[in-house]
Amino acid sequence: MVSIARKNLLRDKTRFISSVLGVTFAMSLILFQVGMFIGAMKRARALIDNIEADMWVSDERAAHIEYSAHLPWETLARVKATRGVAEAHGLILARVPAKKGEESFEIRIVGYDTKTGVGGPWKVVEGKDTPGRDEVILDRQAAENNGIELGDTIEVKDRELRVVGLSQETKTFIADYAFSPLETVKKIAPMQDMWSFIVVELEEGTDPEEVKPSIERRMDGAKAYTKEEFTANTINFWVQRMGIMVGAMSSVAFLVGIVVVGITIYTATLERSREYGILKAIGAKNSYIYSLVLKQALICSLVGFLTSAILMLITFRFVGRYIPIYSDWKLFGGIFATTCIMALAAAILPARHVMRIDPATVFNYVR
Amino acid sequence: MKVLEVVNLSKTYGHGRTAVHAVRDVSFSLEEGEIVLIMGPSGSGKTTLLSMIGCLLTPTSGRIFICGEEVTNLPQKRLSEIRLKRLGFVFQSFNLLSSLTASENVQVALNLAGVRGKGAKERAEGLLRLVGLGDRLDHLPHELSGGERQRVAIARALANEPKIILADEPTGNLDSKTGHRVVELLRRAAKEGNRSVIIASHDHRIRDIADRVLYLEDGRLSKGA
Repeated sequence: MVSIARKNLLRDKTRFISSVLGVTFAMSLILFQVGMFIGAMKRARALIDNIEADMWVSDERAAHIEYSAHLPWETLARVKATRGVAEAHGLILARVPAKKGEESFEIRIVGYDTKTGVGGPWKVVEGKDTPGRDEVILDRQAAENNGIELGDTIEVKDRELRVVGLSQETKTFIADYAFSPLETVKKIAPMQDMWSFIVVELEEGTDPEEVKPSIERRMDGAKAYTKEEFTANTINFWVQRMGIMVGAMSSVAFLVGIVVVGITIYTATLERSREYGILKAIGAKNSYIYSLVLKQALICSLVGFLTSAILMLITFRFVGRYIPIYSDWKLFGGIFATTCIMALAAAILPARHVMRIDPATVFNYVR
Repeated sequence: MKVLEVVNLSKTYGHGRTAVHAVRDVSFSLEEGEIVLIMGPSGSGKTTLLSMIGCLLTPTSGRIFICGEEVTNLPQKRLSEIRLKRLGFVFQSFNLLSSLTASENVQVALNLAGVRGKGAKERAEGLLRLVGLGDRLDHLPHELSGGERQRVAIARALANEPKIILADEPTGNLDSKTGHRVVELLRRAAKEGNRSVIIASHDHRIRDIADRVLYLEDGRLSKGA
């Protein structure tokens, strides 16, 4: 089959390249923002996802994991004593500055009970799985970025912590996770003898909705959430913080893509109106003519998408060292679908134009 | 056997005092293998008549039968099929697709009729060889002379083996020698392929190959039908 669409497009290479570049810019912007946004959300909830708990208890001011307030030390015992609770574990989370030589960086250190392992790193890729006193497991990328190797020591709030393990999937948008035993983090955290969160395992068959009020009644200022609620609150935090901006900018990029492709195809269609008339005159149906216009929009859009996908895969490799980026095939699949929708939208105006071309005009046309 | 019958065909543009009667009450028929030349001055209605026969323009009144099927009130989709399979068009300005080679221009017509791939390519190349363009298969229209372009257009018109070829001023943009060659090709297409040809033209030299000449003046046939 003769590809009229491809040949029409490639006849004017400058216009084709300009259009592809426009789509590449728009799609790269969308890919980057959406990848960053999903990455931020996935990593933000990673700690929640990797702790096997039915409920999270926190200070009533801390409805999600990004804000940790403080629960008195005795809260843990009270939660444990609540009817329906099988087990409860306290966690201390603190964002603290760390130093390695002259290099300083921020970590979000998790103090957890190393005997139970609840709240500890879920994917240690090098070194020890469990840190001892004054030892720490760091995010591997954070360690690499700051020139830290296994066995090195870092300074956290005037304490020397030896790096004994490196973990993965622990880089977050705000600060990378680090893991130390409770007794170590207690000395580092800003508030002494305070829990950030208490995670709760319920007895089998217990309804969390029945346990929540019991916990809240027993402890002034504490609030209990199911794991799902706590996850949703964390995601909402990110949606409110980044989602609107990402949504707005992606929408603008999407519209830019439609306009760029639309103008290219519309201009090419206007220039070739007579040729579409010829095709109609020799027997082409409107559906065939429309398919030609759509194919041109799809070619421009998909070449632009492929270019942006390659560009972003390279970019993600570098940027991923500093911020969590989601670059799964699903992201590219979703943006591919968006590109197809963009091509469809861009083809509407040119298609309306070609539908109206009167094939009879070809009889009178004299060059 | 009649391949075309035109009965009391009229076309009026506009309404009331501004109405222009381009074609008035024209009737004639066309036999298989017959070449009919429609002559007349500019504005006499030749192109309007050809456009209506070519199913590109709806008549104001009258009826057209192509291969026995009345086409006057058919839906656009069916008219497209008739144009594709029963009619071939040759235009004064050649009307080739500028981004396609000679071979591809002919293949497009075949593709539209459902002939694809190697079959379409071979048939297109065969037709181009038939019109003497075997060495110009991969040339773009702007690399061809006027006569060569018109021969590509004839090959395209023949692609789907139409029963009728409609040619509007086919020699209008060509010099005398080239024009003669084009006319000869149309004659061969009619006589060897048993096709009917209607040519609208000012060119008196075409009379030599026509079986019949119709004169159109102010939209009316002024002599013989």
